[in-house]
Amino acid sequence: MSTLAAAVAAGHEGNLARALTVLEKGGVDAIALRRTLLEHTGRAMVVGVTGPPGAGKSSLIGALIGALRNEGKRVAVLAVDPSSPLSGGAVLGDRTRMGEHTLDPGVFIRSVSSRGQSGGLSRAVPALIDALDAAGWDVVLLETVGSGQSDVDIAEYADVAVLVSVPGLGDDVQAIKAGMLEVADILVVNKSDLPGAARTARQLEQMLSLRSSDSVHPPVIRTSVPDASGIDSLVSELGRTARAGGRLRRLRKEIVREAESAFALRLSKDLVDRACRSVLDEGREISVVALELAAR
Amino acid sequence: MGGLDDADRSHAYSECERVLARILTKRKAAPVDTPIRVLITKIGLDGHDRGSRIIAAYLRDAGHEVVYTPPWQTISGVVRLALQEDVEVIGVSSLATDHLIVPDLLRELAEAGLDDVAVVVGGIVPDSEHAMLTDAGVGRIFGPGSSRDEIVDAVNQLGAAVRDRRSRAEVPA
Ligand code: B12
Ligand SMILES: Nc1nc2c(ncn2[C@@H]2O[C@H](COP(=O)(O)OP(=O)(O)OP(=O)(O)O)[C@@H](O)[C@H]2O)c(=O)[nH]1
Ligand SMILES: [Mg+2]
Repeated sequence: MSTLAAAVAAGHEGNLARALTVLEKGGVDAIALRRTLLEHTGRAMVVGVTGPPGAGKSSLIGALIGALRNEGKRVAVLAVDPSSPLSGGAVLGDRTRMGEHTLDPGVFIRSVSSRGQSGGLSRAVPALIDALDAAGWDVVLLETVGSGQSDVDIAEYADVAVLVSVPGLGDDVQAIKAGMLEVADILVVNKSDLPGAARTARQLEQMLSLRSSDSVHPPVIRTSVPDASGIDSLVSELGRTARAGGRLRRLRKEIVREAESAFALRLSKDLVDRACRSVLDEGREISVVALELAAR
Repeated sequence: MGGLDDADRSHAYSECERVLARILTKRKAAPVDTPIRVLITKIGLDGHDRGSRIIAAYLRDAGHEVVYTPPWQTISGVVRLALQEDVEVIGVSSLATDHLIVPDLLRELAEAGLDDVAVVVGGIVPDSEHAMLTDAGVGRIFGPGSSRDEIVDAVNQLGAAVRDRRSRAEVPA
């Protein structure tokens, strides 16, 4: 096993940070590192948090960290902020809202630039999740770039997808929810210390019951970060809602994307499943498997 | 893959590796221009944050990834941030004498194994205190009126040097 991957799996923080840099950069080193890290993955629960700008995603993650720490969980965060379309640079400020956890050895926070990628995440995010998983973090909290419109990728990479909205969005509620309602496992109305929260929650419940004929639909939870209310319900809901097979889903999504984007083709579910299995069971490299698919 | 015998499979596999290798060499040959990661922060009690905000924007516009913190960070907090964020450069803005504790920051960085990170200071630093900072290992000091180009050039240079040193020291992945 490579030295860096071994150090990551042994829980060395500086090496984990360096590994994330290598994975973000991509290329041969990233592929080799990812391959070794994959041997150690499969334990972390990945929680995706998405929602419109300013909804309180980072603040809520800050509060979640506290609650999860009280349960004795070791918590990692990937906070994605948008890169500038002009320069490619970015100001990454999400972790500011999580400042009280900076010195907690049971918390690891990493700021990530979307590096030009749309969909609310960066291209390297699946690999970054794997690294945190391999390093033994129990929970990975993943904050998307707040678009709330097209961040549906999160559902593919997270075991639980949390959609955060706020009171007083008015008609925007409709727009935001159009794509996201289907993929969210938990709906949160944050800032419920502000007027209108009950109404927003009701609207969401109504939309949910219209959309699905199932009797069960995602819970709607009201939270307030300053009042520390609703956070514990959210945490217990996370545990209940987490879907099995998140890791398989992540690989699946990634393989499809690699192959389809490189070769502009559509793949059957059957083929993709088999490819996933060869990555999972035989430890084969994703890019190679993707190319194999494409070369068929 | 279903429907392939072993010979087919091994042929497909080597074909894939060939294509992959080609893609990767092409990617590698292109100038690797990953952004420099910079932490812009303020330690101590000074709340003047205009300068640090402007610097963060300059560096973003120059294509870098800036982890930005508000004022009032502690030294140990900055060290942990630098470690987790794997930054190459730390910029400390000081308008009210907090640069006096920058040598302590450098010491704690070294203790955490981060002695290769470049540290720059900006703001109001009396000339008589420059030597104290540079002796402690501060890379550059920028006073009021420093131009965008000056600052960006220095961060580019220092960041590239750190990256170069790290890539040579790197354990192969
Ligand atoms: C605006 C200002 C304020 C604003 C601050 C608003 C804010 N949010 O930032 C307010 C009114 C709140 C304020 C309050 C105070 N201020 Co005042 N303030 C100033 C003033 C007039 C301008 C500072 C400024 O914003 N400049 C514009 C920015 C863009 O310039 P800059 O920060 O220097 O940044 C440039 C360079 O220095 C460099 N740079 C700066 N940081 C960094 C970081 C990096 C990494 C890099 C590469 C470069 C870099 O690049 C920038 C671009 O060129 C200065 C006087 C002065 N001329 O500097 C006093 C000054 C800083 N304040 C002072 C004082 C004493 C105070 C107060 C304590 C009380 C008072 N007497 O008013 C309070 C304390 C506030 C606090 N909580 O800490 C003193 C500090 C004296 C000292 N050094 O010991 C100064 C110097 C005035 C003076 N001559 O007495 N202040
Ligand atoms: N009243 C109230 N304000 C809140 C609550 N949660 C967050 N805020 C405030 O909302 C603002 C935005 O919070 P963030 O946590 O930065 O929101 P975000 O969704 O991460 O924002 P982006 O990452 O920029 O999209 C801040 O000023 C927070 O203090 C809440 O429950 N109630
Ligand atoms: Mg945020």
